[in-house]
Amino acid sequence: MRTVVVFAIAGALGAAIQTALPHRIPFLPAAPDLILVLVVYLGLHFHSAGGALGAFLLGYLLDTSAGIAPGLSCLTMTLVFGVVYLLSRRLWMENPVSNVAAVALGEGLKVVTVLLFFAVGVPGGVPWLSLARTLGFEALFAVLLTPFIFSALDAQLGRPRAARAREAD
Amino acid sequence: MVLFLRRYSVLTTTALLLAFSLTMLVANTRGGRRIDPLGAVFLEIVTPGSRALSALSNVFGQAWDSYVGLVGVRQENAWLRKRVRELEARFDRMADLESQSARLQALLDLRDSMPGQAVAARITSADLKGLFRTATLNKGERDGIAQGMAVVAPQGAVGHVVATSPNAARVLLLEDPSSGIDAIVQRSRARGIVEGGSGSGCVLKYVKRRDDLQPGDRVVTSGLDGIFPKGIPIGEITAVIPGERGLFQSAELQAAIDFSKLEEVLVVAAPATEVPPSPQRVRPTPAERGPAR
Repeated sequence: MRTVVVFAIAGALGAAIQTALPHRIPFLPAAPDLILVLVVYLGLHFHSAGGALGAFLLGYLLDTSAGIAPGLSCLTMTLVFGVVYLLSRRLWMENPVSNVAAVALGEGLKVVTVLLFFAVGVPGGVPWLSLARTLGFEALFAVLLTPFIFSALDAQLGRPRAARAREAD
Repeated sequence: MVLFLRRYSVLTTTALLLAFSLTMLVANTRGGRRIDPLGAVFLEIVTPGSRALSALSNVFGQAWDSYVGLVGVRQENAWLRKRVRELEARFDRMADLESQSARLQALLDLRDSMPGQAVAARITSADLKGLFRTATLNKGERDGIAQGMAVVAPQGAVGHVVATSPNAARVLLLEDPSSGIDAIVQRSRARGIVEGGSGSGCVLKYVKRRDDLQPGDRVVTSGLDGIFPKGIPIGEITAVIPGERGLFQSAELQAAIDFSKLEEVLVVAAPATEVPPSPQRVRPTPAERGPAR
């Protein structure tokens, strides 16, 4: 229950930050993709159907607060969760560098998915340069913030991540 | 089957959710029936947080705007200061030009009033503190300047040319002790010779003892020395020095010209002398006395 509450609060806060912050701060080109960081955390440490559902709901939350087509963030976040889950089952990913690498991978997946969606689903007139720039900055900020967010989640969830991952497996 | 689902529950759930997401995305993109079962609920959840964050970021944004505004004010202030300096410099240049224009106009008027040939020249250097009070002009023989020519300015007599070169001329100023100009007191018509004093002023010498001299009397050139035209102001008597004995009296003069502020002058050719100079009255010019020092 504690985990659900923590992720609900973190998700709501992350979605609010992602959607409300960028246009308020003139020098900020894009907001960090905090939801994706949460999803990667889920993928690394919550190897259960609940984790997958959590990722889906976090994507849904993002779609609700910012998306124009509900489903895109759901799809992206669920996909990221699945890939990170599969990777973390085969590779040792219990160190800060691999955490950051996992977030970078997730961001890459998201970029590919979003660009694919725009290429296929949105007819003409896509501002590719602006889109790529925004996605790039989102990814960069997310990667930079990953260690802090992971530490905060570890502190809130109250036990070492490795133990939790093993327990989930 | 149950075992399979239990073993691969994460992957199965993920696959199902992916399929649902894709369906939702396709349906919502195509504009048909909108699939958004939890949209309203999630929006209600997110809205308070968004609102709070928006208010917070408003405060931050205002602070940022104020900071940027302050930076803008500072930049504008710096620009305005620079602009003020530029305008002041331009104003100084214009004031200088205006002053120069007025001086040149006065010089032109003087030139028109001169009977003979007159050459306008600029003073390039002046020695006002040394043993000899001289000035150098930027024009010389090529411009028609010759030794012995009078140098005048709109304010009054300046001196006379004692040396020339093709492109420059040396002027012995009125204030030099070796200078001498035949002069006349305007009021009493008393005649004398104006020489440079030991200090900064001049002395009117060789005035008959019986002639009337008063402080404040204006002294002008007599035109009888063959150098200066008649009626050019020389200065004003500041004190009369009556000789205790002898035939003559003297007077201290304040020169009409402030030589330290002189910039442009007119070099005037010797006028046709109205009355031949009296041997007692006119002293030989430095040029006549010998080579220029």
